[in-house]
Amino acid sequence: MAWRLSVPDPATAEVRGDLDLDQMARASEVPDDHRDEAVTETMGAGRAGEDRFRMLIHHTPTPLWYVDARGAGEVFERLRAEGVTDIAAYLDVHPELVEIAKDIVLVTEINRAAVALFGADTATDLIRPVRYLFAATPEMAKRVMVAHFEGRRNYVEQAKMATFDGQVRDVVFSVTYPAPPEHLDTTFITIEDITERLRTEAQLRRLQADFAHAARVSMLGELATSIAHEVNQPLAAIVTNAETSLRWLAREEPNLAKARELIARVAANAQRANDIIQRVRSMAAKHEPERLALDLAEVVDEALHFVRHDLDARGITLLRVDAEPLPPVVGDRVQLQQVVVNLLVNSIQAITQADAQARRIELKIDVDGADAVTLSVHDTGPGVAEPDLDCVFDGFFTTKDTGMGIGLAICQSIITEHGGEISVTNHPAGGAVFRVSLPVGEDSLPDS
Amino acid sequence: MDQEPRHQSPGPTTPTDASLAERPLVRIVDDDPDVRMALAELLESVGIDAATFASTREWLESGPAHRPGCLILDVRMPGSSGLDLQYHLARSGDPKPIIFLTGHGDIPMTVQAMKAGAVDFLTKPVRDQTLLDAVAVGIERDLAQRANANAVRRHLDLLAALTPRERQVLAEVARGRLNKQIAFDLGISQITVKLHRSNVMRKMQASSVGELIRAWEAIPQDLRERRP
Repeated sequence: MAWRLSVPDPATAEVRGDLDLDQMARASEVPDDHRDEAVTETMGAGRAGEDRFRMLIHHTPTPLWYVDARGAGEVFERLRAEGVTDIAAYLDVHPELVEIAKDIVLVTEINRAAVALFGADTATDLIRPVRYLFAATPEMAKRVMVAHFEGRRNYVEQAKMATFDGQVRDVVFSVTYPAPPEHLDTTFITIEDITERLRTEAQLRRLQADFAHAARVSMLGELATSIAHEVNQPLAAIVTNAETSLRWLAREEPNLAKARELIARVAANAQRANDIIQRVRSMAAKHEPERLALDLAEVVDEALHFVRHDLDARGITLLRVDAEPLPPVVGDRVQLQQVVVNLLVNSIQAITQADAQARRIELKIDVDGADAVTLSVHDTGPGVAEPDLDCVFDGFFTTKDTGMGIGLAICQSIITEHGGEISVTNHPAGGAVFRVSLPVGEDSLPDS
Repeated sequence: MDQEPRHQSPGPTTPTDASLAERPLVRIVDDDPDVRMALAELLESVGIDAATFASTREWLESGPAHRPGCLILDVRMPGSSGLDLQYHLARSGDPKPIIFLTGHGDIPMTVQAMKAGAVDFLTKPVRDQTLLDAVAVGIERDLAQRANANAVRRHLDLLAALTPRERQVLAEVARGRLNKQIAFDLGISQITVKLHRSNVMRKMQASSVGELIRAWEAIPQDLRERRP
């Protein structure tokens, strides 16, 4: 039975499609992602229902393709008969089969949203072999075929789509296959355009990174004394070692061994000073956030260089416990350092402002199950006032005389961006406990 | 490079004939291993023994110093700050001269340290000669303090041999009183006062009244009054 779409809307008046309604009805009897019960019922209600269903599909805002994949199905049958089981390996050897499939699998019908997505003049531009759907991500065709061959119901991939008006859009490409032994002319493809979403996300990430950078620079300013002291120590050692080696050399019988030993220390301390300066420079630099596998204990080690002097100068003892071994977390080294420095500065200020008797910060790195690493910072300050517990991470919230109230907000923004969580509680024994949880990971996330 | 030796070892710091116990020892307390090692090397290059400690606690646990010398202290040390330590030392009766070394000496801190008797307050990085000069002053000051303490100890021993009456006469003489005034006050004859006086001179091993008065005055007030 043939069906011809005819709608009064001039923009879509040209849409043509042939569809076997009996086939549709059969397909609708099996559960399918694209249909809910209401739709199935509507379809069962006869011809009027079928029309309504078609209208619904036609006007649904998701771009939708009906694809006749019988050609591919026949090829698959033949391959199975030949004893092929590893289709992926087979297609690697026979890439031409993928190319053939692109031409023998046909689009039979599309909806208005699909026409709009591709910037097509007429719907008929899209009613043709599926090759054009793979123009910007050609290798996806093979993966779609593999999923089909393996009898999966769905295949979803984020891909690029070359549209007819010359753009390349970011999309989520979803295929829903019918389950065998059904006919293979009712494969559905939906393509969701996520270009704007990705762009907005990228923009947000950039803003977040800019914000984090600005906060970092401001933080460095506050830590200037501490940093200057850190650099001054190796400089002091350099000056003294150099002058002492001059003394050994100026003797009537120069002590070369001693001079050599001291000059080696001069070099080592110069390197140490340089390391500190590099750390400060990377903190101050504006860079694209990276996603690298990191040892959180190392991140903490580096962060401590920025606050060690502050801790010492205020007579605060740092107790540190690291669980071992630690799985890596994925993230931006500098941003995570920034979080650790911020939390420590926050604790130092809490202890100092309260002029606490016990002056101690406990820093603990632990493993939380198999998929998270946690960092907790417990100070002996006054803790967080009960009503403030919910807003300490809000921007511009501060209880300090000189604070801007961005330190903890930045921490939260960075940790959230890393797919982690940050929280604060008051310890029963007194003081605040900030707890950061970061997901364990090995690989870099896809960068968009 | 300047081929002349730029620095002579300070005389009093290298007593070749003195026993080890009298050799000066400079103790360095700094939490930075590179810095304290560098300072020790500098001192050793001019023949001064040095011992290093990572913290004031480590240093205190090492026990009191029997050798003359001084301390080089970083004010910003973890544990107990240098200034606290200075106060503690002054009260503990082990007043070793202290040279403060700091990355950032602010003025109030410097004033406080100097008032409490610091030899010097130096800023890191410190020039070698500046530090060695301060160390020389510190060691000399300690040697003088030790010599003074020895004299007091000797005078106290001598004082113990005086009878109560002789001690009374000595106190009066030290106040500049004349024999007849002393005789009147104590209700004894001038002859007896003269007798006590010559006994005091002999027992205190003083060859003149001036020397006797200096010895008396060198003894701290509270020890003078103590009865044997």
